[in-house]
Amino acid sequence: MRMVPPVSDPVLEIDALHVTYGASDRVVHAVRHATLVVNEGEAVGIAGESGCGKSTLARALLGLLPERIGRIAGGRIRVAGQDVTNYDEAQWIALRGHPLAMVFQDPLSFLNPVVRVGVQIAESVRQHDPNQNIRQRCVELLDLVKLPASVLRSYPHELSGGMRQRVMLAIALGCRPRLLIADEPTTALDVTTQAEIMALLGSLRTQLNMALLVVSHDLGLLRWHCDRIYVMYAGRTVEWGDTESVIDRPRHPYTSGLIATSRLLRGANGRFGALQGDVSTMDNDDAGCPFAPRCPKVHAQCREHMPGEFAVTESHRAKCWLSQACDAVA
Amino acid sequence: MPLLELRHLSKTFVRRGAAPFRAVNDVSLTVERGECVALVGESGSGKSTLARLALRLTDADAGGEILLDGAYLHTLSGNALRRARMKMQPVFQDASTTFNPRRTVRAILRQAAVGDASEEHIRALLERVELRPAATFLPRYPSELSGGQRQRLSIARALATEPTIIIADEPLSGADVSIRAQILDLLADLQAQSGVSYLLITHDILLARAFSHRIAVMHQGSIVEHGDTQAVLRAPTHAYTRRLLDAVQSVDGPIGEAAGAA
Repeated sequence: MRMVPPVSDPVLEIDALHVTYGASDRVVHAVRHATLVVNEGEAVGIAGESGCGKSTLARALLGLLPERIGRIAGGRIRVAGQDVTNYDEAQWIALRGHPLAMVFQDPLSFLNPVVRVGVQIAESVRQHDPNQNIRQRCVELLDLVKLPASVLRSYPHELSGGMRQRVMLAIALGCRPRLLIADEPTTALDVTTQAEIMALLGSLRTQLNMALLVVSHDLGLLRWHCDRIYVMYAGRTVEWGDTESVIDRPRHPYTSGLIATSRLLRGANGRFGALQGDVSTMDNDDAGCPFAPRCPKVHAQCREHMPGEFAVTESHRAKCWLSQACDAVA
Repeated sequence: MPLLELRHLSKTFVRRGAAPFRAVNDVSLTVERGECVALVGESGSGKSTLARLALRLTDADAGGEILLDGAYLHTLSGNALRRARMKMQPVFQDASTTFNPRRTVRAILRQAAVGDASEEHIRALLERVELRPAATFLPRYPSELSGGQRQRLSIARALATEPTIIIADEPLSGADVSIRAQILDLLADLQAQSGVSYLLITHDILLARAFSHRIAVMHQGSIVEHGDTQAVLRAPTHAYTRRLLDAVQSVDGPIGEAAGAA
């Protein structure tokens, strides 16, 4: 079953991806049967709580799973139509930066503390535009992320958190990515800085015609910066669709619960907590819906059979038995 | 008489070779019995320093006064301070760094429960923070708990001395959204049961809106605006408060009229 009829070739297509950690005696299924499409120039969000597999999914896309521990155990990843699932390290290296680049939550641990920012940006430029005037291109990149050229001479510790994230962005943009993956890009930042960085990402996306894949636990943030949202739970994509449709008319009880708790408002029962239990209490058994133990609307079928993908609308899907009825209509 | 009263507190940090830095600048604040006051601000605003001053973990500049239940706290030291401070307990953001990793839950709570370290009292504390059944948690180490459970344990530890006020510095920011809501429910239940007051320090305006009766907005060491939470958020008067509100990204869109929300 295909989701959205692509206008052009999608930049990224993930089909039934399965990622495992660990050796044969103890295997953790971090991502199970995950499906995701990012079209050219589109902003897509992945939402979920810790342990839902969203960061693992993002890392798998760039071949960044921990060596010998993490591996892609099934499914397909296509980048601009090219199947990259079984790439070796040399091929992954060629893929990183262009067409796929990534920025992380904590820029300080990804920037070299003893090397000036200019040298670190130049490294990325030299890799991808070797024939350009390197300094000129570095200044141009800083200008894109709204930093003055003087930052080239700074060390990472001399910059604020927001400035460091801008430097990370400049390095990523130096590779001229077609898709920028941002893993919790603003989680460590103050609210006003967070709003600035997200606005910057949005304007860069239009300016450079670059697609965005934003991974975040913060549905509020995704709500305002993404065209489409995927919600993950226990390694699975459980609901996805146009942002407005998912936020205003969620079909999966986990999505509803996430939205309700992110509001931090009291519900009809006077409680804030719309979701009981926590993700770590889920068992890793294959049978049944992984959300069943926490689900307020659980019924017998949920415990025995994993629901398939049901269409809520043309572009809005949910893996929940409750949506089965919609599917018949759609 | 307010339960906690901070009068004209300032804190200047002096570094050799640098200009003195005034992190907290003449701040006065009160918390009434059974009330929750939110102190909101961004990093560097001085809100955590103010919390440390109130707890006497750091000493304020001369001239400031701290009154807990009408008694001067800023003049006390040693055992007298320790005794007085039992009625005021902290809960910090990153619970895991506040526990000795080599002590079990039982040992952690036994150490905290100065007045009554009996097994019954310790079990009752775990029950109150909904770590049930208590017996299964007692022999565990902090590393064997989930993030939400660790934060519950740090609340249990704070409750061990039957405090009248809990000073909570970003108590939810490390936790996932569904866990945050559960812990918020727990804090509300504890307040309903025992009438404990909270001074809640946070950068999260949604959290302040959800939970506090009054709000104080801190910026560059000073309180720039304070008042009834709903009133301040509906019609903020200070430009910085408006900027903070504009930056909030909630699923429902901007909050407050300041943001031009419908």
